[in-house]
Amino acid sequence: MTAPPISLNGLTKRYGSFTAVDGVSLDVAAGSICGLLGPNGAGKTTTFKCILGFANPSAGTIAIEGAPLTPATFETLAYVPERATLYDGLTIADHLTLYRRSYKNFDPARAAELLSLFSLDGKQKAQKLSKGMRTAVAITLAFSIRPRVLILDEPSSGLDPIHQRHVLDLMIDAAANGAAVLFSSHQVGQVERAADSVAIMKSGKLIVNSVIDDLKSGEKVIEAVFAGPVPDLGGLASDPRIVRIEQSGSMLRAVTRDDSDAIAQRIFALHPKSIRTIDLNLEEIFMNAVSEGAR
Amino acid sequence: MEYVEFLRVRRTLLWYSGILALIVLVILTLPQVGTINVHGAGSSTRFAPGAGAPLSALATLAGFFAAIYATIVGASLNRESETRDLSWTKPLSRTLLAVRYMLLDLAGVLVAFSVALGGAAIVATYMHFPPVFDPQAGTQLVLAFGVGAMWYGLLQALTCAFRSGARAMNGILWPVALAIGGLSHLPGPLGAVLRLVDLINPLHYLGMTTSDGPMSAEQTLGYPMPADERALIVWCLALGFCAIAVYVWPRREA
Repeated sequence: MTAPPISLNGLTKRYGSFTAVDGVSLDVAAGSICGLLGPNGAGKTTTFKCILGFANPSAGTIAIEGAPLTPATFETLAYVPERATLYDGLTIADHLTLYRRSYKNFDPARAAELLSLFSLDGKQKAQKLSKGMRTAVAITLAFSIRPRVLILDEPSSGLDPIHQRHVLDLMIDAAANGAAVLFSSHQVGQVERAADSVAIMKSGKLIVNSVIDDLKSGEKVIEAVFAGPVPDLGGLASDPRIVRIEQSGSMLRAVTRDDSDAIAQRIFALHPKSIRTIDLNLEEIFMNAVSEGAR
Repeated sequence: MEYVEFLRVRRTLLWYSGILALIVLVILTLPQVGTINVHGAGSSTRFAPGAGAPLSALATLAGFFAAIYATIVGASLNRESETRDLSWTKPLSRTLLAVRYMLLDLAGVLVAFSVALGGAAIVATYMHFPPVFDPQAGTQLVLAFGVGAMWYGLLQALTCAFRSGARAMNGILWPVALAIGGLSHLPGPLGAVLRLVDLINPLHYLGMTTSDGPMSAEQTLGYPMPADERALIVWCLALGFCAIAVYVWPRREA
């Protein structure tokens, strides 16, 4: 069995007494896309820094295609940072030349195709580019080496909706061709559209790591509307199968982890005017996960 | 990414050479001088027109300018922090990358030294002091270029561990170096400490030896030292500082 292209095992990073990443274990298989979600300060960027060797893990291991990171790893690993880094004095074409000289797998035809996709002019100097254009250049550079492993930190940052869609398509295309993609985003919809699996971090810990479809089938929302105010729920709120209960006027909303039918039966026994069970979307799953500690 | 450093070095050299050329042109418009007296502590050397300017003296001047150039390029590893997402994700060891940067920068320091030496020779010739190869010239050339290299290495060693601060270090290093040199003759413990710190001050070693004997800062400060010994120390320190930077920079966390 081949090792997953990205494998983190118990990754921990401490800065003094502060633990930025706390025992994160995560595998991203070849041909799959993992979306990394989390509130600001959750440890996503620090995780990326550790994977890329920008920061030394305090504990745990990182393997890229089954081996520790070496300079040679970067022949097949591409990284798009949150704030695209470019050499301000150079043109876009100069950056492509740099990449052509540095990477054996650099594909000039692919680079030209991507420049056209993002409507970039090779003669433009980096210092004149907008934030979105810089991101587009960084993405062009990353995908031009036809990487087997892609790490993207907020890859659509500053891009317009059309180019954001292009980025997602590029990731999906790369995964379809066997690459492993790990990307972070604050836009849950992007993760829902592009990723097969989702990892959610909170306070340095990985609190969710699952295939998105499994997550969606596991959690449901039961919405009930009563004729008057919501009646006394009895022991319903403390039922371990319920993740969260929200009440607003005559509306009761219960997020369930499993056995939603049984919970619906219990609510139905309170004689609501109407009741329905709906699937959770990823945004609700994310909100549930990050707010669970406050429940 | 060494190509980027090459472009930086080339651009800096063009500016540096342009400014030096301007200085030389201005001097060439000035009236020619008669006799030049160079005073050292306890000695005075008199240069009369036609006598020739010792190459060692011109080398000392060139070393000073090489140190100025080294100040401009001397924090290249620190500056690279701004673009580390590009340079540290290259399929090349960071140590090798640092070494390549330094070799390029030091080649630039050598060119800057040579340009300054050429400019000094032109001015000296114009003033009827054509350069002459004195016995100490060889050693002094090695020493003076070494001072530029040491300045470069010192800046790299002081800044490579940090994400920023290169410009601040560039700004304060010259005043600090001059102040330490000036104050190190103070009596008491402060003077002793400053004399110790002065040992890593490149300017401390930038003296020259004429046929009349040593004429260097060390002599003023009570550290007479032959030029060949100073050259050896300067190069050891320059390489030592560069080695520190090569060791520290790749291990630095981003």
